[in-house]
Amino acid sequence: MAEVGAVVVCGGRSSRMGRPKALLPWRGRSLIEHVVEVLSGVVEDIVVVTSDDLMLPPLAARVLIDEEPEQGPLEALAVGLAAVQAPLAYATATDVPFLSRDLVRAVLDAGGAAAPVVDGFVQTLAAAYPTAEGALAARRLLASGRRRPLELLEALAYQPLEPAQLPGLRGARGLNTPAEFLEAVREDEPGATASLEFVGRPRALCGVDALRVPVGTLASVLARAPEPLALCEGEQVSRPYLVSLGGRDFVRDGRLPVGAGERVVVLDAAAGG
Amino acid sequence: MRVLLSDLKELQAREGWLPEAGLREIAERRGVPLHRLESLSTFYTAFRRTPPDGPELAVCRDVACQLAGRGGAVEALGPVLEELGVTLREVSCLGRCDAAPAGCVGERPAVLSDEADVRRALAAPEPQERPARHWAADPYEDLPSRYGAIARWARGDAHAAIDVLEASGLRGMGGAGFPTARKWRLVAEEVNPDKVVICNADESEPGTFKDREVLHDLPHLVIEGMVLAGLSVGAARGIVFIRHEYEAERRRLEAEIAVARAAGVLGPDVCGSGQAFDVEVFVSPGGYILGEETALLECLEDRRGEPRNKPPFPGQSGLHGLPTLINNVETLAHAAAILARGADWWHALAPGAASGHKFMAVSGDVARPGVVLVPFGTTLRELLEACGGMRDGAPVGAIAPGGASSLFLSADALDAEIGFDSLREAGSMLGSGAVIFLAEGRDLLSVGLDVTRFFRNESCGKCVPCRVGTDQAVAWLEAGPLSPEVEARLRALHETLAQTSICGLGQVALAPLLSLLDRQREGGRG
Repeated sequence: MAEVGAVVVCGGRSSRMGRPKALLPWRGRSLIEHVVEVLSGVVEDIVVVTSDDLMLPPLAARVLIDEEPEQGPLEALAVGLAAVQAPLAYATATDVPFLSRDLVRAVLDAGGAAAPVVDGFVQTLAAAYPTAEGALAARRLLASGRRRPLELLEALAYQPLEPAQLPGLRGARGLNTPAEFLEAVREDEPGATASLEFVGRPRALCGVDALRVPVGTLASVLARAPEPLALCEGEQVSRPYLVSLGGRDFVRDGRLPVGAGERVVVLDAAAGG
Repeated sequence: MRVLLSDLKELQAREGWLPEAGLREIAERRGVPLHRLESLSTFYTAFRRTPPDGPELAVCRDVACQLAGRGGAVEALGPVLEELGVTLREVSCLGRCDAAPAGCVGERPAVLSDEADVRRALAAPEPQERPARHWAADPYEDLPSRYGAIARWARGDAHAAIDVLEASGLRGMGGAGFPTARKWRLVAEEVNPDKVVICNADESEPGTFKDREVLHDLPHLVIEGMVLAGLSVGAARGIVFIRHEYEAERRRLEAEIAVARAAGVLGPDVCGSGQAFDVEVFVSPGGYILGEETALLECLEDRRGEPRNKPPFPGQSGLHGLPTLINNVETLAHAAAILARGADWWHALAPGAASGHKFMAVSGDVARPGVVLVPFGTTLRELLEACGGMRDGAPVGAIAPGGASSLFLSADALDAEIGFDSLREAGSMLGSGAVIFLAEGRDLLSVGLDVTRFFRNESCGKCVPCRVGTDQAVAWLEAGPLSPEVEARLRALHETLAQTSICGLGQVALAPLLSLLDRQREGGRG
């Protein structure tokens, strides 16, 4: 029997980020793949709780669907904690690119409910939860209309962990905005670039197949396109063009972040590419 | 006291069995007739009178391990055991129903369905260390704050401590649910100044393993509970009676006893109170019946572990006739926590009218068997969900909420709350808090046979109806499908056992089986 497990909560709407945080590019793959990889060095059983509209890549983890994502992270924790095989689990969000194995180990070493307290804030998604007791208490809280993960930790008589005791505490900090994500990308890889690629009529217009451009918001990336292409109007992709991000979604919002190594493909809607 | 059993245990450990010459040597040295030693060597399961034939793998034969496919696992191990020259020995429940099908080599547990684990156990039959869990039942967040309740109560009024326990309403967690404060008060009021506190760490009923985790993870609370009991009732001596299969847990406990001695919590002057209290650990020579408190006392007095007639109860006349307080492991741990945190804390742990929390051992056809700490008032359904639900999402067929000796309930009981009174109202009992979930479609008669065999195997033999009746019941069940006549005879036999056995074993031996027959009939109808 595995002694410790992990729950990754990634059902949030990522509304401020503008694109699903789990799928943000990080070191050549998606953030969720990275987080699962980090966890797999410490724990044996990993459960990812996600909303059903998020198409996750194949993961070395069990993926469970949170049927009620509107209930927030407490519902996801209830689902995840009930499923982990080990008696104790580390719970994390998916937007933690700097998650370290040392941090996960240090928090789990408390041996029971425990969470770092940083500047007076209890880090409920960088915390250890006893799985059975946690699932039970979470269900009870939800049934009485309470949704704050902190109340779950309180019900479990958690041990507050001082930042001084913990290595790699950055792994507890989530990223909420494109600016925070891009700052993390640039710190991780100074001079990081994305690939701006042109297909069909856009390629014919500018005579270029692809460019390496510094990472940044989509608008800043598209602004690098050669003359005569004007791909953005304000914060929006200009009408005749289609822009695919990461080879996955067509997007129009110029405020979205473009990460390291990501492919931004520009097509022409009128000409069908 | 206990010199004979100690000598026998030592001889058994040294030789691997009890050779005739060794028995004669003990008899001469101790000045006792040989039949005294034979009466012990033939009673206790840890002793053997024949030399072992090479390494031995003990395999559990009881209900949780049967449910987990013990038969197939043992069969699959055949070539390995042959290759290594290992003998199989069937034993009663090892208290590892959460790692079923369970076995052990020496005191090193092994999961029988995991060949690599069995090989590792055979290669190194030493129990492995595992990290301790921190539980919400522990009032102390760090090492320095431990034993804080003793420091507080050591100079205070011992009766006030009992008042706090009374206000909490704490009841015994070993199965009977007797109010803890009343038990402490009875012993405190005895005039004999020589009293004893015993911690019963001999849980051995199929499905029961929660004290294992309490001993392993919270040994300081168990010790603190014993010391507080000693101060409150006026006892200077404590004994932990622990089953021999809990070797890793015994080591944790002994290590913590050394810590407590060094800290002045145990010794001639407990935390400056002027009172003495110390704890010794006695390892049981084996047998479910020793969990019955008077059988336990007989064992501690170097006799066969056969229950005594009651009254007198141990509180008045226990070990060697001394007033003796006997509490379960978990009870003592909770008592210490209550005396550290107060009765109001205990009340606030549970919702509604319920108070406190309980360690529950969950096993059977569940996704995640194990020990869970739940507030009283939690429903069986909530407990099941907290354990990840039934394995493979199977529907619930039957539930034993209080171990193999409790009556099996139908799935209708899922909404019953965990509590002494609520589970009695539901038609069964909380017992020690050992819940066995059976999936729909299980052969309930076969489960009933397993449970009945356990009581047959573990009957001490003192009361004839129990000794003969359990054997007769097993014979009828093994003979094949039950005719209405045989079932009627089983019910009559149960009446006889219930009325003529002096201890709980015989009184309930056939009751789980009969409840399973009832559940099976309902299933057939529905």
